[in-house]
Amino acid sequence: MKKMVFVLLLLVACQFQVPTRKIPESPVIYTGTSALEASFNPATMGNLIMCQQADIYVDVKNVGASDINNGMYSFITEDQYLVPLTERQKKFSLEGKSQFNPKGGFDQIHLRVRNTGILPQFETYNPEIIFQACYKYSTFASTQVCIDPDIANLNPRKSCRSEPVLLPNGQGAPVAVTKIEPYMVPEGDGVTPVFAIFVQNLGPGAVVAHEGAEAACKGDSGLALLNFANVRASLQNKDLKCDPNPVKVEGSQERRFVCQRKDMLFGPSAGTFSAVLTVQLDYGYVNSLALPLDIARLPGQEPC
Amino acid sequence: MPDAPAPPGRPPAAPPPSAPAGGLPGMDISQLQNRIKKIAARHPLWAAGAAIKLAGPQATAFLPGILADIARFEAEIETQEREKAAAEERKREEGRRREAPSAPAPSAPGAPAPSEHAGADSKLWRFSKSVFHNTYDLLLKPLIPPGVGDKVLRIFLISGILAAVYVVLSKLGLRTLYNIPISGLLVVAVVLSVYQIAPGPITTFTRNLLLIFGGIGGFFALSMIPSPIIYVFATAFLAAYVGSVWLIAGRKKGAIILLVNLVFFGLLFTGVYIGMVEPGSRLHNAVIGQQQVFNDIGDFFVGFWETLWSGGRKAYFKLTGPYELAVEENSQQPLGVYLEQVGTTSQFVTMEDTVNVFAELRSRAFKTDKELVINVDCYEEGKYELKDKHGAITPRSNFTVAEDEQAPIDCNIAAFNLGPGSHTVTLEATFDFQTSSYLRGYFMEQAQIRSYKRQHPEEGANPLEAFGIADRNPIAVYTGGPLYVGMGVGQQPIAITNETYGPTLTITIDRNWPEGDLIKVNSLNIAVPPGLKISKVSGWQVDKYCSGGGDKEYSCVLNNVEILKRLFPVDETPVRLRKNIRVETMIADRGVLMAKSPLSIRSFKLTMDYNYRIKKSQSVTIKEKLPT
Amino acid sequence: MKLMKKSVLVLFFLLVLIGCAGRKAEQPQPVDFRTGTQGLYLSFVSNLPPPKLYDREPLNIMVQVENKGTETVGPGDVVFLSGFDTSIITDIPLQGVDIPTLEGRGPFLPQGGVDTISFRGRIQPFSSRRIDRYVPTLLLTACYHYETIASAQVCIDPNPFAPTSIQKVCTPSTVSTGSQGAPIAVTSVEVEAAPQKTRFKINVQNVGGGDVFRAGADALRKCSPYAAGLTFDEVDFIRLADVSISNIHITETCKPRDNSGHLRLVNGQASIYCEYGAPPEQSPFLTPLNIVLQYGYRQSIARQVEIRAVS
Repeated sequence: MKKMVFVLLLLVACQFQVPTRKIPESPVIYTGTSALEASFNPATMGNLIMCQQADIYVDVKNVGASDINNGMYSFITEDQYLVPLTERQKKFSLEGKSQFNPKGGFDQIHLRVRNTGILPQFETYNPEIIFQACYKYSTFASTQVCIDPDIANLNPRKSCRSEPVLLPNGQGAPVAVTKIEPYMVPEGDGVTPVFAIFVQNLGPGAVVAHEGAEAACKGDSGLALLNFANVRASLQNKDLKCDPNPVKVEGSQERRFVCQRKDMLFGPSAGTFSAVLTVQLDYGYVNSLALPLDIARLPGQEPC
Repeated sequence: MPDAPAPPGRPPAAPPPSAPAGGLPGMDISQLQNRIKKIAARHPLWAAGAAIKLAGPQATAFLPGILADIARFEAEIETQEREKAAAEERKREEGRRREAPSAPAPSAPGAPAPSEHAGADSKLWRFSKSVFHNTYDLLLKPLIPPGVGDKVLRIFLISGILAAVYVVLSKLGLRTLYNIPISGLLVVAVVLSVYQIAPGPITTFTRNLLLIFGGIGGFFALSMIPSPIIYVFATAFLAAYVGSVWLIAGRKKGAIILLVNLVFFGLLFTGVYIGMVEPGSRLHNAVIGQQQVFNDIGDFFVGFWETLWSGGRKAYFKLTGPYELAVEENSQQPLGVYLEQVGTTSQFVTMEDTVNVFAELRSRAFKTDKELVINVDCYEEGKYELKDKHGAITPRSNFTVAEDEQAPIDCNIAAFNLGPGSHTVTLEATFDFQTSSYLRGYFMEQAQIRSYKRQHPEEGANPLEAFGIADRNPIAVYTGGPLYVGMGVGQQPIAITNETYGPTLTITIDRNWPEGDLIKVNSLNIAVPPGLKISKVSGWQVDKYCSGGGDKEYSCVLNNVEILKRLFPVDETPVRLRKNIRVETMIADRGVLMAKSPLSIRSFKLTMDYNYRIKKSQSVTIKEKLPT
Repeated sequence: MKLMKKSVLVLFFLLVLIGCAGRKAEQPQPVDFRTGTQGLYLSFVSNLPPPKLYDREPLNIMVQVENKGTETVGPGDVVFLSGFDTSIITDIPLQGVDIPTLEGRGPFLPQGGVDTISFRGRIQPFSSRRIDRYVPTLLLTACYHYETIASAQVCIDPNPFAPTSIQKVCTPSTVSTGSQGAPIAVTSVEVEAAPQKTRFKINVQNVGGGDVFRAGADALRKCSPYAAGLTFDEVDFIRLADVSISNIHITETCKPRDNSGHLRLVNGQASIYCEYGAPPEQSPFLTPLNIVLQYGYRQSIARQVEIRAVS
C-alpha cells in the first residue's frame, strides 16, 4: 500500500514537471583552424602495372568559415614516367561553413595518368604524385573588447574590464587571431583604444600573398613567395589603421600588429561598455598532399 | 783466574746489569743477566738501559717491562735463527742437486739407471724407461747371461731401431739417399737421451731438438692419415703445438720453435722438397695437402679482407661521399656469372696425360632484352700469351644465356705442353654486362627554398616537407651485378636560380662483387631530365655524343673509343676501381624543367655496358711417371 | 467508550476557553519600521531581457524597483542602462530614466513603493559587421538621494562622578542602534559622560552594498555611468543633516565635518563626535538622540545577454 502511494506520488510529480523551453543551438561557424581538407580517396589506384593508366581521386572539403572562389589545384607528377591524361591544373570553388551549410562544401577531384614505362632491368619504380591546392582565403575574427575610459577606476562598478582576450579555438581559418590586447591610451579627458593583435598560422599549409595564391600553384616566383596577409580591423563600424599592414605570417610563428584610430576618442560620457572588434585577414593559402605509387613490371613484359 | 782478554776487533760488550740494592724478590739475577747479555749483541742500547733501570731503586717497578722486552727479543732471535737455518738447509739442498748429475748415485741391482729425466720428475720418461727396462728384464735378461751380452744386446737393439726407422721413412716416401743419415740421427738422439751415456749438454741438446721437431713430427704423423680433411687438423695441431710451447716453456723456446716451423713450412711452398719426397707417397700427399690448406687459408683471409675493405669503403662513401646508393630489389640476388666447384680430375698426371680442370658455369638471368654471351678460356697462369699454354674448353667456349643456366665446363691441356712440375691452371669467364641506375631529383626555385628555410630556421628543415614528401633525401637505385653505380647531385631539393648552370651529377663506379675485374667499359649512357643539357663529362666536351632536348630527356651515349679512353685510360686494365665521373649540366629550358609547378620531380638515368671477368685457379702436378 | 467520552469532554473545554478569551477590538499597532539595510531594491524582470536574442530584434528591458527603505525616492533620482555598444544596441536613452516616486516604509506602511522601469532599444544587424555573436553585460545603475534617520535612547548624566548615593536612572553607555531602513546605518552611539558635557561617538557604516556619495544634484548627475564619474572628494561623503537631543540641535558640535557638513567614510565606516552640554544640576536622564544623514547612493545590477546573428 505504501509502495503504491509512493509510486503514485512519483508519477504525479513527474507529470507536473514544468517543461523547460529548449533553445536550439546555432551551429558554431567561426571556429577551427582548417580551411581546405584534402585526402586521397581509397579508390585511388596506388599500385599499377607498367604501361597501365591510373585514376587518382582527391576528396576536398572546405571546413573553414570562408568560401574558396577561383582557387587552383595542381598535380605534380614525374613526367618522365607518368603522363597526365586529364587536366593537371584547374580552378575550383568550394563554399565554406555557414548557418545553412554547417559542414561546408565538398567535392572530388580526378586525375588520370598513364605510365610510359620504367627503366629496363628494373622490376619496380616508385614515383610520387603531389596534389597541391592554392586559394585565397580570409579570416574573420570578431571579439568583444572592453572600452573603458575610466582608466583611473573611479567607478569600481563596471560592466567590463579592459583585459587581453585569448582566442584559442581559431575562427574557422588556418591563419587565426590568437590574442588581442587592448590598451586605453589616455588622450586628454578621454581614451583612444589601441589594440595589439596577434596572429598565427595554425593550419597545415603555407601562407602566401593574397594576390599570389594562383601563382603559387603555377610555380611563379615573386608574389607567391611572400608570406603576407592583408589586415582590416574595425571598431563600431569604423576602420582602424593597422601597422604593419600587410603582416608577415611565416611558418607557425606568432606575429603581432597594432591597430588604432587616432580620431576615435572615448570620453567619460561614453561610459564603460563592451564593443566588438572585427579583424579580417586576407591571404593566400597552399595545401599539399603526396601519394606514393608503385609501378611494377610483369615478368617478360614488353616495353610500352 | 783473570778473565781472558777480549779478542781484538770485537766491540765492547754491554756491562752486565748489577744487582739492585734491595734485590729483586723472587728473581734469579744471574739468569736475568744472562738473558740480557744474549740480547745485548743485537740491541746494545736497550741492554744498557735495562741495566741502569735494574740497578736503580725503582728496579721492581721496571722489572715487568724489562721482562716483556726480553721475551719479545728472545722470540725475535729465535725466529731469525730458524730462518737462517732454513736458508742454509736450502742452500745445501741446492748444492746437492747441482752436484747430483755429474755423479750419479749408485743404484740397486736391477733398478733402472737414474736419469736426468727422473731427476726432472718426468713421468713419461720414467714410464718409458721402466717399460724398456722391464721388457729387457723380463724377456731378454733370462736369456742372456748377466754381464756378458749387455753391450752386445744394446748394439743389436740400436741396430734394430735404426733399421725400423729406416723402413718407416722409406715407406713414408722419404728418398732413399737421405733416409740412412736421417734415420741414424734420430736413433742416436733417442739412445742418447734414454741411456744417459753422453754427458749432460748433448742430452739437453737432444731434448731441445725433439722439442723443436716434435711438432713437425706430429704434424706429419697426422698428415699420414689419408683424408683430405685431416690436413686442416694437422695445421691446427701445429699451430696449437707452437702456442703451447710458447706458453709453457717460455717465450724464448717458443720463438725458436716458431721460427723453425716458419722456415720449414716456408720451404713447403718452394720446390726444395721436390727431390726429397717420392711423388705419390703418403708424405708427398701430406705435403701437397698442406700446401692446399695453406693456400685456401690464404685465399680466405684475402677474400675476407677484400670484403671488409670494400664494404667499409662503401659505407664510408655513403656517409661522406656525394652519392648514396640503394640497390634494386633483385640486386641482392646473385645476378651474373659464377665459376663454381672448380676442381681437377687428378692432381697428379704424367707427361703423357691430359690435365683436366673442370668447373660449373652458372648464370642468373637479369631483366634485359640482351642475351648474355659468356666466353670461357683456360691457360696456365702467367702464360696467357703463349698459345700452347691454353687449353681446350668443352663442350664449348661460348655460352649464350637468357635464363638461369648452369653448364659444366672442362678445360683440357696436354700435360706435355705444361711440362713436369707443379702448375696453376686458370679458368676464366668473361662476359659483357649492363648495369643501370637512376636518381630522383626534386627541383625548386632557390628563392622558394630560402623562403622556406627562413621560416623554419630549425636544423634539418627541408622544403620538401611542405609538399608531404616522405623520401626527402633520395638515393640512387641500381641494378645488381658485378659493379655498383652510384649517383649524386648534392643536397636536395636542387636549387634552380636565374643562372644557366645546372646541377652537377657525380657518378661513382665501384666493385659490387668481391671477385672479378672490370676489363673494359663499352658504353656509358647518361640521361638528364627534360630542360637540362649535359655540357661536360669529367671536363670533356661531349656535345657530339648527345641528343634530345626540348621536352624530351637529353642523353649522351658515350661509346666512342676516344671518349671512353679519356674516361677509362687503357693503361688501367683491369680498370682500377673506385672511379668517379662528373657530369656538368646546363639549364636549357627552365619552363620545361619546372613544368609550371613550384616543385618538379625528375630522374637522372645511367646505363653502363662493360666487360667483366671472373677467374678461378687450380693447381696440378705433372710428373714423369707415376710410382708403381 | 470511556476514552471517547473523555476526549469529547476535553475538546469541549478547549473550545470554551478559546471562545471566552474575549475579543478585543483590533487596533492597528505601529510597527518598528526603521530597520533594514536597503534603500532601493532593483531586479530585472524575468525574461526581460531574455538570455538569448537575435539581431534586428527590439531589445526590451524591464526593471522592477522597490523601495525597501524608509525614505521616499522620487523625482530627480535616475536609473541608467549601460555596458553595451551604442552602435549595436540603439535607442536606449543614455541620460537614464527617472525613478518614479516610491514611498518608503512607514509606521503604518510595512512595504515600500514598487514600480517598474522600461528600456526599449533596437539591435542593429550583424551581417555587415561580420559579427557572429555579441554578449554584452547590461549594467543597470540607480542613482538616488536617500536619508537615514536614526534615533537612539541615550543616557545623559551631567555629573557622572558626583559623590552621591542617589540612585541614578541610567548610566551612560553605548547604545547599539542596528539599522534604520537605509543603506547607510548608524550602527551604534557611544556615550561618554563628562561633567557638564556629554560626548557622543556616532558610528556610521555603509551597509547597503552600493556606493555613497555627496548629496546634491551635481553629484547625482556625476553618478551616471555616462558621466565623468564621481571624483575622489565626492565619493564616500555623507552629510550630517542634523543631530539633536532633547530638541536641542548639536550638529554644530559634531566633528569631523568638512565645510559643507559632510563626513567621510573610510572603508565604508566613519565616526563622528558630538557634544551636548547638559545643565549640571540635572540628574541623569534618558533622552532620544536623533541623527539625520543625507547622501546620494549608487546601486547596480548586471545581466548578460547573448545576441546572435540571424543573417
